[in-house]
Amino acid sequence: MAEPRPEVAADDAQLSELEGIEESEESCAPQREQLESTSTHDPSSNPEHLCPGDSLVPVVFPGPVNSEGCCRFACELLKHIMYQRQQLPLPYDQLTVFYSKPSPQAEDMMRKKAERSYRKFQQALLELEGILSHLESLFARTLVPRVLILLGGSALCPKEFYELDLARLALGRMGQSLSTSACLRRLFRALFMADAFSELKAAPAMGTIVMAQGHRECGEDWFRPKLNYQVPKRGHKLTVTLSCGGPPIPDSAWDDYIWFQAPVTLKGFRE
Amino acid sequence: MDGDQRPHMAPPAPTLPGVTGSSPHWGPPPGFSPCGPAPPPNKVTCPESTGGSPELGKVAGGADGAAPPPGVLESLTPVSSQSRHCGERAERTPAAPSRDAPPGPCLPHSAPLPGAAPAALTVVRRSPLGLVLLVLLPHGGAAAAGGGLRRPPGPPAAPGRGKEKVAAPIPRKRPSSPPACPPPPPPARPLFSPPLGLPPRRGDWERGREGESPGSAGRGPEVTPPPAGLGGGHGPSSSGSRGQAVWRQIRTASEGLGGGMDEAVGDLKQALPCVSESPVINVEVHLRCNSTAKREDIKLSVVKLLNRHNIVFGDYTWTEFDDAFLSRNVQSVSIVDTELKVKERQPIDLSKCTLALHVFQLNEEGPSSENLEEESENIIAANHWVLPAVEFHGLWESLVYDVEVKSQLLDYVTTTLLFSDKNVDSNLIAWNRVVLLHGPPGTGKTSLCKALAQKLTIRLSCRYQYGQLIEINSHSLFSKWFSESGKLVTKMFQKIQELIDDKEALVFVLIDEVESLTAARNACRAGTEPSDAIRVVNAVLTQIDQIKRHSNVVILTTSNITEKIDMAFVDRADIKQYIGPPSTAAIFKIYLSCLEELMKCQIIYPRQQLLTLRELEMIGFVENNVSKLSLLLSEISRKSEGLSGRVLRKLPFLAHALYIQTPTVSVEGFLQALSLVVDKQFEERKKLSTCIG
Repeated sequence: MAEPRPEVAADDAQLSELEGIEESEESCAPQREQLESTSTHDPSSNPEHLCPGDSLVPVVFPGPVNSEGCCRFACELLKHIMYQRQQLPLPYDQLTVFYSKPSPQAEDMMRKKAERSYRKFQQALLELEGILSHLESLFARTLVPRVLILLGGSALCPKEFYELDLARLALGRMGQSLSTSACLRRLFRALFMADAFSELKAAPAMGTIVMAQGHRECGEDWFRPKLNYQVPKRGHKLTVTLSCGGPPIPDSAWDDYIWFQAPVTLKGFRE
Repeated sequence: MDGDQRPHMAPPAPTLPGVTGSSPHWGPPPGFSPCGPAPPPNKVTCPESTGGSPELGKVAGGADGAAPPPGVLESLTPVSSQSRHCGERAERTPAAPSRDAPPGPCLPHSAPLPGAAPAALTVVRRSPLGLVLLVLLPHGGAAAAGGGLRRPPGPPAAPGRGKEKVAAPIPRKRPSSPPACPPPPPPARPLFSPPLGLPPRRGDWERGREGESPGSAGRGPEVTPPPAGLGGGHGPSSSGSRGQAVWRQIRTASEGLGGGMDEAVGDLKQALPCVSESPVINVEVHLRCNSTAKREDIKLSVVKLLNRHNIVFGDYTWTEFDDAFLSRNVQSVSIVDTELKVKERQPIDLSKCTLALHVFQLNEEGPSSENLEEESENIIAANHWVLPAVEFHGLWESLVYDVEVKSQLLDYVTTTLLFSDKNVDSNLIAWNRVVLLHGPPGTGKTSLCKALAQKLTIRLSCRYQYGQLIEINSHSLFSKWFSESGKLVTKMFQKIQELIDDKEALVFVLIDEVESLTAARNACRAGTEPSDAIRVVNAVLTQIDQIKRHSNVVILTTSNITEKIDMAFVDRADIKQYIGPPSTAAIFKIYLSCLEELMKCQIIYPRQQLLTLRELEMIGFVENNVSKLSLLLSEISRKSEGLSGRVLRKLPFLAHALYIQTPTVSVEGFLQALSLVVDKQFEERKKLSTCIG
């Protein structure tokens, strides 16, 4: 729970938030209409704070998914964003093949390259791998309603950030849920259709911070709890909302879910 | 329970250290009744106390070691009857009715006594001991008697007794004389975290003392409470002491009446608005980095912990807890900054204080850099920390100053926030949110800025979710292109403006070595300064004027060479604090903290307790087995005078490196090495100056 604050301040904050939503709904309307054409889902129930210039990619799955699937969505999105925003020189899967099992040619190339930068690549890759595996264990521990990927600056004021909203997904049992790869295809299709990355300027190498919401009592010990954390209001934002078409879960259900921050910052690197 | 965890807990009153009379400044005189300084029961606040007065009278009589003389009961009867007697007593004891008034200094008395007002000298006789108090009254009569009013309200003289006149005030009869007067909280206190008042409670030893001789008991709580509030609180505000007096009165009454009063007192306490004005003790609760518990639960548990401890001596930290919940979630619970104003450790009665709990968790990530993008290059213009940061933890405590720099800075920000909150028209009363610390290098100016930012973030955690510290690299704001520097400064401040726009954050802008950004502009008239530098100064000045409108920003600046700074900037600084090299006392404190750390790390082994300077003073610097090492340390401190804080903090390291080189060393061996290294330091300095000369 957040700290008790003076009531007046809390009221003000609520007020401004409400105002913010009204404004943004007006200003974002044309953009959203365009995005909605790619999807049948109506995002008007979305309670998120939207600013002009932020974009929203709603994705609707035709049935329940499983928790491993949720984890895959988050991991794949992280890999994709890091590549798209020029923090990785190659897509992650190619990089792992390229660097972990160096072929003779690659070995030669590495020798030509400065030893130092090679070590830097390896370090960055290891860190990314670490985050991916810890994300997996976090998803196994607790429901994760939201994941944030923050690029540049600090966790509180990033240059740009990406939010994955999983709160409206329905979880099904193993046999009854949709296949994860089909869902992934649908997710990435929506991303490409929305053309979310094309208009962004080329990014310099910067730090990437991963945050995820989890239950207060989930016993997570690698991710650091950030009790006071609030999703930044500034910076370029892209929200990806996943849902299964069901009714939205009331916000109060997530009261006991707090933000966790990965203790490492992924450093972007280029060739 | 956890007896081992509270070495600073007061033992039962009769064995209280200091009561034996070695510290006259806080021990009430022998024979001083527990209800002594408390004003008599006040009808408005505690009507039930009327019934308690006979018992109170008995207590007072017992304290004096004599049968209650005529007049004891009279003096302890409630206000109404007392005011009836006022007129009669006025000729004899003009100051007596002032007990009705709250004992705060400079409190105006509503009804000056006939005949008392013009008196400059008042004689108060106290019958059982036959003593006469001379109270010096400045103009205003009883109203302006100040601290002198807070004498133990002995029964007024019985007619015909105690004729002796004492020519001067007896100091030991005035335990609450002005120097030791309880500093009431600053008026701004209610702004900060909603104070968590403790319910009235009576701990074990307190309960025990009801039965025993009240003459020896009750001394603990009578001592002046420590400073409170954000700034350690001080100043002539009577409200705090009034609230305290009323509270004390209620306690006294409830003790007289027995346990049945407890609930009534609890109700009363809630009903009384002035109770919240009792001194505020700041308690910082440092959460473990993996704690996910709710703040409310933490606060409840900490209040429970503090409830078990009645008296603490000065600042104190708990790091081990019996409660599994606390030990799982909390790293430490510290009572902090009670010693900012009052140099010595003082016992604090927690039950009489309002506790302000500040729960915080440290941010582990280091600084991120704030970039300014130019066409071709990327300039790292600032380092940026999210507070409270691990890096600055403990920095505040490590800084030792003689003058009350720290509390002044805290008070300054308190006032700033109060003025902003009350919407004081800044056209009429201007303040710029700029603090300038100047002084010789190595005195901890930059550290103090960082520590202050950290401290305020923790203190104000109920208002602001987090703090941001932006340390501007002033050199990087000068562009290689002519006339671009001013624009870079503007760009930098635009970034800061973005951070300020987030009203959840308290933003500190630290400009180190500010003379490089605000070099005196008149120097350029001589043609030695390029005009680009003038543009930088202009940009900084206008940007500061822009920023000051926002309530959640403080600009901290430091400088070594104040004469080089532009006057327009110096004018804008609200506080221009000189930070000088430490005095002998401060040096002693610094060395002591260094030795403490080395003993903790077992480099100095076996552990030996060293005395503080205050304790040395108390034993009169007499050399014996206990004080030998401490005296040696004080000798070294005297020798080290003139060295800066930065040098002092590295001397223990150098002492080990140059003269010891073994994994463990005794305290004595270490002190000898320290002494040698101090000599060496001065020798080096001399050589350096002769080289340059």
